[in-house]
Amino acid sequence: MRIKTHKGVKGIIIANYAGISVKSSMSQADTHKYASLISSLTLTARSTVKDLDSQNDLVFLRIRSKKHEIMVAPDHEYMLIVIQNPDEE
Amino acid sequence: MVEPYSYKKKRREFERPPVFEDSELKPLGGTLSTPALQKQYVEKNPTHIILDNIPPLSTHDVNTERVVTATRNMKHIEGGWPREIDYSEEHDTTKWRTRQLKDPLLAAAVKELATLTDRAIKQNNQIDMFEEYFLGEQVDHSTETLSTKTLMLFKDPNDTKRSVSKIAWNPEGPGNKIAVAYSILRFQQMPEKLSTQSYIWDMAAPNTAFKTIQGSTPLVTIAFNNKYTDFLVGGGYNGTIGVWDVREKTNTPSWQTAIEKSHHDPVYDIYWLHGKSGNEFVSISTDGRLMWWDFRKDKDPTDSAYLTDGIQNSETKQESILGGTCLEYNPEAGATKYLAGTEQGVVVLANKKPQKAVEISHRYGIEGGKHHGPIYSIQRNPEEAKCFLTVGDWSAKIWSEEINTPIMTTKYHDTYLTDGCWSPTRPGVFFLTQMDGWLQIWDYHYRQNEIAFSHKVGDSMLTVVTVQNQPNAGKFGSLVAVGDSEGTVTLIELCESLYEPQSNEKISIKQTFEREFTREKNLKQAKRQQEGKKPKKEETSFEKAREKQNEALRKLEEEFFAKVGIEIGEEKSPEKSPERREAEQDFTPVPQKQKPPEMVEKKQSFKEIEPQEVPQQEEAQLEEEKEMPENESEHGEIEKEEEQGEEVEKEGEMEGEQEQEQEQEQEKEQEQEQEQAQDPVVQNAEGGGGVDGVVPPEI
Repeated sequence: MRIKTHKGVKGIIIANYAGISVKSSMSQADTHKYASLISSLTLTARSTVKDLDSQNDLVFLRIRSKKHEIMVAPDHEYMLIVIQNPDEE
Repeated sequence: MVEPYSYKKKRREFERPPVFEDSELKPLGGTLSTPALQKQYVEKNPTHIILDNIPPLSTHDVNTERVVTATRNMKHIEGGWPREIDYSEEHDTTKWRTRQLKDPLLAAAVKELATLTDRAIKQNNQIDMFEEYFLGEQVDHSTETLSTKTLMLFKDPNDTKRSVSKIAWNPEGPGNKIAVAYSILRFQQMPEKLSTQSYIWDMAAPNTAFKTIQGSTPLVTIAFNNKYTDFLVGGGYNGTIGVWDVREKTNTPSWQTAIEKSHHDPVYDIYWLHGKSGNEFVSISTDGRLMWWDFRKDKDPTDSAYLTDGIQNSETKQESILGGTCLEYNPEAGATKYLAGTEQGVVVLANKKPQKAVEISHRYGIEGGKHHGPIYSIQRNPEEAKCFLTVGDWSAKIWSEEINTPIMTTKYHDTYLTDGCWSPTRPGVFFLTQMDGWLQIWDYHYRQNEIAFSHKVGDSMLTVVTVQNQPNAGKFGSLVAVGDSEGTVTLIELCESLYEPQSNEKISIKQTFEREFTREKNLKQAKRQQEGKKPKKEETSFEKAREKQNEALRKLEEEFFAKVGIEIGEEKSPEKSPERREAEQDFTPVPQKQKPPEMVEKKQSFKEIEPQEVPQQEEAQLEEEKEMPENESEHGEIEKEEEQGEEVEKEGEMEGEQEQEQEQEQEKEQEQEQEQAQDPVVQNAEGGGGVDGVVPPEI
């Protein structure tokens, strides 16, 4: 996919809210880990935003860690997870 | 059939709720007393009966068992597969996946999300949003307001409160242990059963001491060994010194000095030496001695030296001894140099070279600038080892090793200062403790005429202050331990600006000290030069004054003899003249200074007549002498003395026999003039005629 071709992108995962990955560019084991953990986190984040303001909704979630940045774009059913190394410039 | 409908309701809920109100008291009924039965009853008077319609209540405390909670995480390994698919079957999962991929919803969603994510990724690539901007810069704290915070207190657990006399930080590793020595130093105020224990406290447990050190006497000072931090040396109130091993379970010392060989007074300070063995230490006490010990060897001191003050007492031909109150040993400044502060306010520098006797090389403050009382603390500046700080009376002074007077002095504080120390990280900051419970912080980098910050620690007198030199949570020198006279040690944390070294601080403080040192040096030189101009005059006049004093005695003797009648023949006159001359030189203080100008004139005029007139003058003088005692002897003597006094004043400036002769003549002239003053009838020519016409004085 075009996203893969961007600089520093390590991998992408498309998962649903149950935590099952539909499509992935990384190994099985990694995919499982990321999909399950991040989907639950996204659910919590979304509910937090909705609790704070019921009209609000989660648009994008970015987790920046020492080694890389995990970006999650949630949708109604699915979510797109991208892992990038932002310091590789 | 219609089923009967039934419902239940409590009777209490029917109708209106009852409303009770107070009514008047009225007797509702009663029974009369039967006298027959009365006999069976005992009268009880009075009786109180209270009736009430309250249900009996009681309280109960119940404590359920504590529920133990723990936090646990769940590792979610496998996602939530729909129920019909068995996720262990790979075939099923892949089938499900492919089915999902075909979902049009997915395609649309992915498209949208992709654009979003795309943007974010591009952003990331463009700028590093979380860049550290101020990584390399040094923080400039000079404009910050200073603050200090009390962290914790360590209280003396004994009943009789002893004052803290020394605090020592454990030099090892994460510095969180302090050894504290307790004693009562007030004169003769030690109660008999005073506890002789000192404690080591751990910062993690401020309520109970980590270890107790038991000695035979209260400890006045305590220090950790730098090399083997398990060894502690403690100096006691009775002058003995003991070494403790912290690892041992018993609290008694593993090595102790014999009381005969120890100091005669409390040991005020001890320092471990930084030699190879690490077993040696030096101690100081108010008995005036510095003693060196090695605790692996026998219990005798390896060396000892007296702190003398360098002034030879003229009677005993010995120097007096100064009592030592504090010590400083810093191998950076010199491994053989020991700085001692004394009770008299003077600082003494002792040099101990191996294989040689100890010699006192310098004394600071003897000429001027010494403290008005004992010096309570002395410490070298950690950056500039040549300069040291002394704390005593009401001020703190900074000295340089090369000059005997202090180079800088703080203003007088409002109460006595009891202790002080430098900050180990900032060379311009030092701490002082006062008798009224305040801790004063001076910052010479920022301002030199005012105290930078004051912190009130408590109401009781503060006795000790030390700053931690080891890292505490990564910060050096941020903890200050202050002890007071009630036995409480307070740990104070400083704000960053007080312990983080400022940029250029080291250089600027060094420059400050250099500048002050040069100023003192120049002042001293200027003083010396001034004194250098007048040394001869003052010396000769001093010597002459002494001679004159001795001569005055002789002269009085002569007069006495003359009065009594022991006549001195005219033959002896030439002999007498030198005596007379000497007598004339007697320095009897006479305020008269009236005649000098006239005398000078006469001196000149007399020069020609000298040789002839001398004997005649002498004769005349002799006659006068003889006559004088007969007549108004006192008056004559006074005259003589006056004359001699006048001459003497002049004699101070002149030398040589000729001058003496002239003086004689002048004396004679003085006599004559005085006679003239008294007897206006007798007129002697001012020239040389007066010699012949000597008329006996008034009768």
